[in-house]
Amino acid sequence: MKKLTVLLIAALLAVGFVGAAETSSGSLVVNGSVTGYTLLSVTDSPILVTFNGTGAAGTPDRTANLNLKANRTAWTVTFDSANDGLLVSPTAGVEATSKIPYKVQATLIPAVGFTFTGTNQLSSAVQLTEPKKIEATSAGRTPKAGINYTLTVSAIDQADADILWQADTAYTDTITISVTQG
Amino acid sequence: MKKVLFLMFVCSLVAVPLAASQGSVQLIINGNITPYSSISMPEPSTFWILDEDDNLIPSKHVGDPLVIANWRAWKVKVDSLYKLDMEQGRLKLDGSEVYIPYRFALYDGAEVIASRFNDPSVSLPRTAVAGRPLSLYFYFSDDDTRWPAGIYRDTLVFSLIAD
Repeated sequence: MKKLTVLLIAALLAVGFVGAAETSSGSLVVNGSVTGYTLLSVTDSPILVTFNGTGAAGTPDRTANLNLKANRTAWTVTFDSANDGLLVSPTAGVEATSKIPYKVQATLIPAVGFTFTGTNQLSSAVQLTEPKKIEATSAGRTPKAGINYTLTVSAIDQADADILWQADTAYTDTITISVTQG
Repeated sequence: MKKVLFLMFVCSLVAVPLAASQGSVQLIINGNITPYSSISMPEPSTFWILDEDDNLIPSKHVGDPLVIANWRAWKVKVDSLYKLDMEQGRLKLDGSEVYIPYRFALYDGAEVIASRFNDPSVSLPRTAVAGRPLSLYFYFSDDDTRWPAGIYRDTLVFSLIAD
Protein backbone atom coordinates (compact mmCIF):
# COMPACT_ATOMS: atom_id res chain seq x y z
CA MET A 1 0.00 0.00 0.00
CA LYS A 2 2.79 2.42 0.83
CA LYS A 3 4.53 1.69 -2.43
CA LEU A 4 1.43 2.50 -4.39
CA THR A 5 1.06 5.92 -2.78
CA VAL A 6 4.62 6.92 -3.50
CA LEU A 7 4.32 6.00 -7.14
CA LEU A 8 1.15 7.98 -7.55
CA ILE A 9 2.71 11.14 -6.16
CA ALA A 10 5.75 10.72 -8.30
CA ALA A 11 3.63 10.38 -11.37
CA LEU A 12 1.69 13.57 -10.59
CA LEU A 13 4.85 15.58 -10.00
CA ALA A 14 6.28 14.38 -13.25
CA VAL A 15 3.23 15.50 -15.13
CA GLY A 16 3.33 18.82 -13.36
CA PHE A 17 6.95 19.51 -14.17
CA VAL A 18 6.45 18.63 -17.78
CA GLY A 19 3.60 21.16 -17.96
CA ALA A 20 5.69 23.97 -16.43
CA ALA A 21 8.50 23.44 -18.84
CA GLU A 22 6.15 24.24 -21.80
CA THR A 23 5.17 27.84 -20.63
CA SER A 24 6.84 30.59 -22.85
CA SER A 25 8.06 33.93 -21.45
CA GLY A 26 6.96 37.36 -22.70
CA SER A 27 7.45 41.06 -21.98
CA LEU A 28 5.09 43.96 -21.66
CA VAL A 29 6.36 47.18 -23.19
CA VAL A 30 4.95 50.41 -21.79
CA ASN A 31 5.58 53.54 -23.83
CA GLY A 32 4.75 57.07 -22.77
CA SER A 33 3.89 59.97 -25.01
CA VAL A 34 3.54 63.52 -23.74
CA THR A 35 1.96 65.94 -26.12
CA GLY A 36 3.50 69.34 -26.50
CA TYR A 37 1.58 71.69 -24.27
CA THR A 38 1.49 75.41 -23.79
CA LEU A 39 -1.05 77.59 -22.09
CA LEU A 40 -1.10 81.37 -21.79
CA SER A 41 -3.37 83.47 -19.65
CA VAL A 42 -3.52 87.16 -18.76
CA THR A 43 -5.11 88.60 -15.67
CA ASP A 44 -5.83 92.22 -14.73
CA SER A 45 -6.59 93.33 -18.25
CA PRO A 46 -7.47 96.01 -19.28
CA ILE A 47 -4.97 98.49 -17.88
CA LEU A 48 -6.22 102.08 -17.70
CA VAL A 49 -3.63 104.84 -18.10
CA THR A 50 -4.78 108.25 -16.89
CA PHE A 51 -3.15 111.46 -18.11
CA ASN A 52 -3.67 114.77 -16.32
CA GLY A 53 -3.89 116.68 -19.59
CA THR A 54 -0.75 118.82 -19.23
CA GLY A 55 1.46 116.50 -21.24
CA ALA A 56 2.86 114.83 -18.14
CA ALA A 57 3.44 111.09 -18.03
CA GLY A 58 0.40 108.88 -17.61
CA THR A 59 -0.37 106.81 -14.55
CA PRO A 60 -1.49 103.19 -15.07
CA ASP A 61 -4.02 101.86 -12.60
CA ARG A 62 -2.41 98.42 -12.35
CA THR A 63 0.02 95.92 -13.74
CA ALA A 64 -1.13 92.81 -15.55
CA ASN A 65 0.08 89.26 -15.09
CA LEU A 66 1.02 86.81 -17.82
CA ASN A 67 1.06 83.13 -16.87
CA LEU A 68 2.78 80.61 -19.12
CA LYS A 69 2.71 76.84 -18.83
CA ALA A 70 4.93 74.88 -21.19
CA ASN A 71 6.45 71.42 -21.36
CA ARG A 72 8.91 72.19 -24.12
CA THR A 73 12.51 73.09 -23.56
CA ALA A 74 12.22 75.85 -26.11
CA TRP A 75 9.39 78.26 -26.75
CA THR A 76 8.79 81.78 -27.96
CA VAL A 77 6.28 84.25 -26.58
CA THR A 78 5.53 87.11 -28.97
CA PHE A 79 3.99 90.48 -28.09
CA ASP A 80 2.30 92.22 -31.02
CA SER A 81 0.52 95.58 -30.76
CA ALA A 82 -2.47 96.31 -32.97
CA ASN A 83 -1.34 99.95 -33.29
CA ASP A 84 2.44 99.72 -33.19
CA GLY A 85 2.65 100.65 -29.53
CA LEU A 86 0.26 103.62 -29.74
CA LEU A 87 -2.97 104.34 -27.92
CA VAL A 88 -5.39 105.53 -30.57
CA SER A 89 -8.78 107.20 -30.52
CA PRO A 90 -11.49 106.76 -33.11
CA THR A 91 -12.29 110.49 -32.92
CA ALA A 92 -9.04 112.30 -32.10
CA GLY A 93 -7.72 112.04 -35.64
CA VAL A 94 -5.24 109.93 -37.55
CA GLU A 95 -2.28 112.31 -37.43
CA ALA A 96 0.69 111.41 -35.25
CA THR A 97 -0.16 114.09 -32.68
CA SER A 98 -3.42 112.30 -31.92
CA LYS A 99 -1.77 109.03 -30.90
CA ILE A 100 -0.17 108.33 -27.55
CA PRO A 101 3.01 106.26 -27.51
CA TYR A 102 3.45 103.89 -24.60
CA LYS A 103 5.88 101.22 -23.51
CA VAL A 104 5.48 97.78 -22.00
CA GLN A 105 7.85 95.72 -19.88
CA ALA A 106 7.69 92.01 -18.98
CA THR A 107 9.47 91.05 -15.76
CA LEU A 108 9.81 87.41 -14.79
CA ILE A 109 8.73 86.62 -11.26
CA PRO A 110 11.21 84.11 -9.81
CA ALA A 111 9.75 80.60 -9.57
CA VAL A 112 11.13 77.69 -7.57
CA GLY A 113 12.68 75.10 -9.85
CA PHE A 114 12.76 77.31 -12.92
CA THR A 115 15.75 79.13 -14.31
CA PHE A 116 15.14 81.07 -17.46
CA THR A 117 17.64 80.56 -20.25
CA GLY A 118 17.12 82.67 -23.30
CA THR A 119 16.41 86.26 -24.31
CA ASN A 120 13.77 88.74 -23.28
CA GLN A 121 13.31 91.77 -25.55
CA LEU A 122 10.88 93.21 -23.02
CA SER A 123 13.20 93.06 -20.02
CA SER A 124 13.19 96.86 -20.13
CA ALA A 125 10.31 99.07 -21.25
CA VAL A 126 9.92 99.08 -25.03
CA GLN A 127 7.43 100.47 -27.50
CA LEU A 128 5.94 97.72 -29.64
CA THR A 129 6.65 99.40 -32.96
CA GLU A 130 7.25 95.84 -34.12
CA PRO A 131 6.62 92.48 -32.42
CA LYS A 132 8.94 91.73 -29.49
CA LYS A 133 9.77 88.30 -28.14
CA ILE A 134 10.72 86.31 -25.09
CA GLU A 135 12.57 83.21 -26.22
CA ALA A 136 13.49 80.25 -24.03
CA THR A 137 16.29 78.45 -25.77
CA SER A 138 16.69 75.58 -23.29
CA ALA A 139 15.28 74.42 -19.98
CA GLY A 140 12.03 76.08 -20.88
CA ARG A 141 9.81 73.58 -19.15
CA THR A 142 7.83 75.37 -16.49
CA PRO A 143 6.50 74.21 -13.16
CA LYS A 144 3.00 72.78 -13.39
CA ALA A 145 1.59 76.06 -12.10
CA GLY A 146 3.49 77.89 -14.83
CA ILE A 147 5.73 80.91 -14.66
CA ASN A 148 4.54 84.48 -14.30
CA TYR A 149 5.57 87.75 -15.88
CA THR A 150 4.50 91.11 -14.52
CA LEU A 151 3.43 93.31 -17.43
CA THR A 152 4.03 97.00 -16.75
CA VAL A 153 2.79 99.79 -19.00
CA SER A 154 4.28 103.29 -19.00
CA ALA A 155 3.83 106.49 -20.98
CA ILE A 156 6.43 109.25 -20.83
CA ASP A 157 6.11 113.06 -20.71
CA GLN A 158 5.39 114.92 -23.90
CA ALA A 159 8.02 117.37 -25.13
CA ASP A 160 7.25 121.09 -24.83
CA ALA A 161 6.78 121.41 -28.58
CA ASP A 162 4.39 118.46 -28.79
CA ILE A 163 0.71 119.13 -29.36
CA LEU A 164 -1.25 118.13 -26.26
CA TRP A 165 -3.15 114.88 -26.49
CA GLN A 166 -6.80 115.56 -26.91
CA ALA A 167 -9.16 115.24 -23.98
CA ASP A 168 -12.68 113.86 -23.88
CA THR A 169 -12.12 110.85 -26.08
CA ALA A 170 -11.21 107.23 -25.40
CA TYR A 171 -7.83 105.82 -26.38
CA THR A 172 -7.02 102.13 -26.63
CA ASP A 173 -4.63 99.51 -27.94
CA THR A 174 -4.60 95.71 -27.89
CA ILE A 175 -1.50 93.58 -27.46
CA THR A 176 -1.82 90.03 -28.74
CA ILE A 177 0.46 87.66 -26.87
CA SER A 178 1.09 84.31 -28.49
CA VAL A 179 3.32 81.33 -27.81
CA THR A 180 4.96 78.91 -30.20
CA GLN A 181 6.87 75.78 -29.28
CA GLY A 182 10.37 74.90 -30.27
CA MET B 1 -10.16 42.72 -27.41
CA LYS B 2 -6.95 43.88 -25.78
CA LYS B 3 -5.93 45.74 -28.93
CA VAL B 4 -9.18 47.64 -29.00
CA LEU B 5 -8.82 48.74 -25.40
CA PHE B 6 -5.25 49.88 -25.93
CA LEU B 7 -6.16 52.04 -28.91
CA MET B 8 -8.94 53.72 -27.00
CA PHE B 9 -6.50 54.56 -24.24
CA VAL B 10 -4.03 56.15 -26.64
CA CYS B 11 -6.76 58.23 -28.22
CA SER B 12 -7.83 59.66 -24.91
CA LEU B 13 -4.25 60.62 -24.07
CA VAL B 14 -3.92 62.65 -27.24
CA ALA B 15 -7.26 64.35 -27.01
CA VAL B 16 -6.92 65.85 -23.53
CA PRO B 17 -3.69 67.87 -23.97
CA LEU B 18 -4.71 69.33 -27.32
CA ALA B 19 -7.93 70.64 -25.88
CA ALA B 20 -5.98 72.45 -23.13
CA SER B 21 -3.48 74.19 -25.41
CA GLN B 22 -3.99 77.88 -26.04
CA GLY B 23 -2.00 79.88 -28.58
CA SER B 24 -2.68 83.53 -27.81
CA VAL B 25 -4.24 85.93 -25.35
CA GLN B 26 -4.84 89.67 -25.37
CA LEU B 27 -3.85 92.54 -23.11
CA ILE B 28 -5.92 95.69 -23.56
CA ILE B 29 -4.58 99.12 -22.64
CA ASN B 30 -6.96 102.07 -22.38
CA GLY B 31 -6.03 105.74 -22.04
CA ASN B 32 -7.94 108.63 -20.54
CA ILE B 33 -6.96 112.30 -20.87
CA THR B 34 -8.25 114.75 -18.30
CA PRO B 35 -9.47 118.02 -19.84
CA TYR B 36 -7.01 120.83 -19.11
CA SER B 37 -6.89 124.53 -19.94
CA SER B 38 -5.11 127.61 -18.64
CA ILE B 39 -4.44 131.17 -19.72
CA SER B 40 -1.84 133.39 -18.14
CA MET B 41 -0.13 136.73 -18.50
CA PRO B 42 3.24 136.92 -16.76
CA GLU B 43 2.69 140.23 -14.94
CA PRO B 44 0.60 143.42 -15.09
CA SER B 45 1.59 145.55 -18.04
CA THR B 46 2.68 149.09 -17.19
CA PHE B 47 3.61 151.59 -19.87
CA TRP B 48 3.66 155.29 -20.74
CA ILE B 49 0.56 156.26 -22.64
CA LEU B 50 1.76 159.71 -23.79
CA ASP B 51 4.69 160.38 -26.05
CA GLU B 52 7.22 163.19 -25.66
CA ASP B 53 4.72 165.62 -27.24
CA ASP B 54 2.02 164.64 -24.73
CA ASN B 55 0.03 162.94 -27.43
CA LEU B 56 -1.53 159.54 -26.94
CA ILE B 57 0.60 156.83 -28.43
CA PRO B 58 -1.19 155.17 -31.38
CA SER B 59 -0.71 151.60 -30.23
CA LYS B 60 0.89 149.48 -27.57
CA HIS B 61 1.85 145.85 -27.41
CA VAL B 62 0.44 145.15 -23.96
CA GLY B 63 1.50 141.57 -23.52
CA ASP B 64 1.33 137.96 -24.64
CA PRO B 65 -1.38 135.87 -23.01
CA LEU B 66 -0.33 132.23 -23.01
CA VAL B 67 -3.00 129.62 -23.64
CA ILE B 68 -2.63 125.93 -22.83
CA ALA B 69 -5.59 123.72 -23.77
CA ASN B 70 -6.13 120.12 -24.77
CA TRP B 71 -9.66 120.57 -26.01
CA ARG B 72 -10.14 119.61 -29.63
CA ALA B 73 -10.88 123.31 -30.26
CA TRP B 74 -11.32 126.39 -28.12
CA LYS B 75 -12.14 130.09 -28.20
CA VAL B 76 -11.03 132.97 -26.01
CA LYS B 77 -13.21 135.81 -24.73
CA VAL B 78 -11.98 139.14 -23.36
CA ASP B 79 -13.82 141.38 -20.95
CA SER B 80 -12.92 144.82 -19.56
CA LEU B 81 -13.68 146.25 -16.14
CA TYR B 82 -14.22 149.78 -17.49
CA LYS B 83 -15.38 149.09 -21.02
CA LEU B 84 -17.73 151.57 -22.64
CA ASP B 85 -19.22 149.09 -25.06
CA MET B 86 -18.23 145.90 -26.90
CA GLU B 87 -15.62 147.70 -29.00
CA GLN B 88 -14.29 150.34 -26.68
CA GLY B 89 -12.43 149.84 -23.44
CA ARG B 90 -11.31 152.54 -21.07
CA LEU B 91 -8.38 153.26 -18.78
CA LYS B 92 -9.54 154.92 -15.60
CA LEU B 93 -7.51 157.52 -13.75
CA ASP B 94 -6.92 156.46 -10.14
CA GLY B 95 -9.18 158.43 -7.78
CA SER B 96 -11.05 160.14 -10.56
CA GLU B 97 -13.72 159.54 -13.15
CA VAL B 98 -11.44 160.39 -16.05
CA TYR B 99 -11.22 157.73 -18.74
CA ILE B 100 -8.96 157.28 -21.75
CA PRO B 101 -10.73 155.20 -24.40
CA TYR B 102 -8.98 152.47 -26.35
CA ARG B 103 -9.69 149.61 -28.70
CA PHE B 104 -7.99 146.28 -28.55
CA ALA B 105 -6.98 143.44 -30.85
CA LEU B 106 -5.95 139.96 -29.85
CA TYR B 107 -3.61 138.30 -32.35
CA ASP B 108 -2.70 134.73 -33.07
CA GLY B 109 0.42 135.28 -35.11
CA ALA B 110 -0.58 137.85 -37.72
CA GLU B 111 -4.30 137.10 -37.52
CA VAL B 112 -6.70 139.11 -35.38
CA ILE B 113 -8.82 136.55 -33.54
CA ALA B 114 -10.78 138.92 -31.28
CA SER B 115 -11.42 142.67 -31.18
CA ARG B 116 -14.75 142.97 -29.37
CA PHE B 117 -15.32 142.54 -25.66
CA ASN B 118 -17.26 139.45 -24.62
CA ASP B 119 -17.33 138.23 -28.20
CA PRO B 120 -15.71 134.77 -28.54
CA SER B 121 -12.69 134.63 -30.81
CA VAL B 122 -12.27 132.45 -33.84
CA SER B 123 -11.79 128.78 -33.02
CA LEU B 124 -8.27 127.49 -32.44
CA PRO B 125 -6.96 123.93 -32.09
CA ARG B 126 -5.39 122.29 -29.03
CA THR B 127 -2.07 123.81 -28.14
CA ALA B 128 1.45 122.56 -27.67
CA VAL B 129 2.54 121.45 -24.20
CA ALA B 130 4.37 124.76 -23.77
CA GLY B 131 1.26 126.66 -24.80
CA ARG B 132 0.21 128.99 -27.60
CA PRO B 133 1.20 132.65 -27.11
CA LEU B 134 -1.25 135.28 -28.27
CA SER B 135 -0.52 139.00 -28.57
CA LEU B 136 -2.62 141.77 -27.09
CA TYR B 137 -2.49 145.27 -28.57
CA PHE B 138 -4.19 148.47 -27.45
CA TYR B 139 -5.00 151.21 -29.97
CA PHE B 140 -5.54 154.88 -29.02
CA SER B 141 -6.90 157.83 -30.96
CA ASP B 142 -5.47 161.19 -29.96
CA ASP B 143 -8.08 163.97 -30.00
CA ASP B 144 -5.98 166.77 -28.50
CA THR B 145 -7.47 166.15 -25.07
CA ARG B 146 -5.06 167.11 -22.30
CA TRP B 147 -5.17 164.16 -19.95
CA PRO B 148 -4.53 164.72 -16.25
CA ALA B 149 -1.33 163.19 -14.99
CA GLY B 150 -1.63 160.01 -12.99
CA ILE B 151 -1.99 156.29 -13.25
CA TYR B 152 -4.72 154.94 -15.50
CA ARG B 153 -5.86 151.37 -15.14
CA ASP B 154 -8.13 148.75 -16.59
CA THR B 155 -8.51 145.09 -15.78
CA LEU B 156 -9.05 142.58 -18.54
CA VAL B 157 -10.49 139.14 -17.91
CA PHE B 158 -9.68 136.37 -20.38
CA SER B 159 -11.92 133.32 -20.55
CA LEU B 160 -11.36 130.09 -22.45
CA ILE B 161 -14.31 128.25 -23.93
CA ALA B 162 -14.30 124.68 -25.25
CA ASP B 163 -15.52 124.67 -28.82
